[in-house]
Amino acid sequence: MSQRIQDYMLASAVRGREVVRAGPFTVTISAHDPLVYINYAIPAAGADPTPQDIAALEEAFTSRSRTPRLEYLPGLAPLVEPALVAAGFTVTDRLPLMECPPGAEVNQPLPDGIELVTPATEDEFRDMVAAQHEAFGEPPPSAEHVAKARASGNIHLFARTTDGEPAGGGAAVAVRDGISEVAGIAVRPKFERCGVGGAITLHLTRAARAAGAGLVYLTPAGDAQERVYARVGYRRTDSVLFLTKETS
Amino acid sequence: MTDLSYEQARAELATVVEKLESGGTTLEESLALWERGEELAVICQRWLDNARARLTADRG
Repeated sequence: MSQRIQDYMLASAVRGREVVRAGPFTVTISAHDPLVYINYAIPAAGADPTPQDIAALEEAFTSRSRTPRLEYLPGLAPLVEPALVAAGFTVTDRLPLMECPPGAEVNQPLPDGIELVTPATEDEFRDMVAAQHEAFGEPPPSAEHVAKARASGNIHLFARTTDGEPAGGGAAVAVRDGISEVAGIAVRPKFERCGVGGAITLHLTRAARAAGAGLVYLTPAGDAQERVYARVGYRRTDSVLFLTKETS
Repeated sequence: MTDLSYEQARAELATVVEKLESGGTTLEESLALWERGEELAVICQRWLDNARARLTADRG
């Protein structure tokens, strides 16, 4: 299934960017902005790069005044990391990737007094986004943040007490190519450790499937979150690996 | 950590950069896009910093 996620990420990466082929690597370059997040390469599945391929990869970046950088799922191209490390690249980050196979979902009892609703009104969106911001230690959301959530086309879920107090929220990204990413699962501190996060995750996963996602994945922000998602049925299947080579 | 995943933040950042590059926006719109771009870059970096912290912890 990782191949589908890699294809999904590659489709995003090439949109609106210069695309250069360097051996088994697809290099995507933002013509006017050197920001590292939008200038990176992805190797083809099963790639076994030669020194010439790696030299071409570096050249594709440096000739455009960009830092050589890769972001990809290493399970699909296990020979790339050792070859690049041997060529002077450094592993800078590794984000775990978890998928929930169809049918693997585990029921999560909803805590007493908590209900999950699909936000529909302005007030519900504002309360949900405010709960997410509080949970993530961010300042209260602006009207633009709330409007952006409403307009995103994503599947949202708002957790609140039956008497209306916001408890948390989350989203599943609008399904594209049969794939959805669950993200932004948040629970306000006073409602932590009673199963709200697991219940939000489960219901978003089911909603994404109902909307046509055969593959639902997420990237946990930490070990505690990873344990919650594992209880829902998610399993680590790969990671997103970040490699870079600083040039003088 | 944030209500956007790394992939979401990065995809939106790419869109913001594309809009700024293509021009045709008013000064006010450009400033708003710029601010949003900065915000998204911070979110991306926060994800990477967090991943790096976990990587370092795993390596012991």
